[in-house]
Amino acid sequence: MLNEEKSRRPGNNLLFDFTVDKATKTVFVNREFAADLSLVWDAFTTQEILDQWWAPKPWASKTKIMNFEVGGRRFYAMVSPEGQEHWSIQKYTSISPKTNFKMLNAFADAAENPQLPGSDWDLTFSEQNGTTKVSIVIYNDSLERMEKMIEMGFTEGFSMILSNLEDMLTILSKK
Amino acid sequence: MHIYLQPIGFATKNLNKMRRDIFQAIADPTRRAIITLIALQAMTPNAIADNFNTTRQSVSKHLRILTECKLVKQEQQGREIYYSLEIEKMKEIDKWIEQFRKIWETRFNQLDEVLLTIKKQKKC
Repeated sequence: MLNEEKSRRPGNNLLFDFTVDKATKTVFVNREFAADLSLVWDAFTTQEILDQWWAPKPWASKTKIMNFEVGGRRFYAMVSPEGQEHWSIQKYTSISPKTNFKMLNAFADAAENPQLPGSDWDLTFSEQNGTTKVSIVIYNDSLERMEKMIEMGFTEGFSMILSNLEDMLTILSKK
Repeated sequence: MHIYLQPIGFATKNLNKMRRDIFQAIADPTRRAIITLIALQAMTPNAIADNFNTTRQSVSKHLRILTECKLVKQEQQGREIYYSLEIEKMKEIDKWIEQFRKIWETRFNQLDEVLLTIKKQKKC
């Protein structure tokens, strides 16, 4: 069962949806951008641009190493306003220029030691009439990963809630 | 998926305790099914147990855990005890999840700005 939250943002017609499929433990995020494909592609694959938007404010993204090529990686930190650093590694496993890239994500320490297993990300880019759509699929398969998620406060319950809670709240609010 | 959660993990540290309680409670499929059932109407333990192939004792155990987590409440009506959902508690979970969505929303809104800036620079 999919829970889908679709919205068209005010002021424009750009899609944003966020979906969780609990059966396959997969998160889907789709978003359209008012820019051409090559620019959006660069925004996702270039260190200088990524660091400008990847961390939700007031957090900052700080990329220490990035080589965007198959087998290459991005080693970066999310930095809190207090200066606390949370490091991660994104290892690029497949790249089809301006179409798709895949990466394996893992938490890490400041010395770049990964905490495996990570999660698999699949990002697809397409352009239509000057609007670029980015589709992100985040997949998490093993029990170990589930345990990691629990460590992060992300239990299986989360997926269930996303699938069911909205329906449930709709029912409840009608009472 | 936990990487995707990373910004949320630290944005919601104050909710650590709540997570431990509620999210562990609903990590169990039977308990989730119970929640879905009683979301529709208050039910007695027997009526709830009728919906499962497990023992009455097992359902009672699940109800006890849900009660301890304050996700459900009991109400005595005559001889029977009725279980219903604590709507406010469920809404807390909803708020918590909303933050996950918000992270992506914020991130992408920032990207919109960045794209706009780059486009303007190119035109100059």
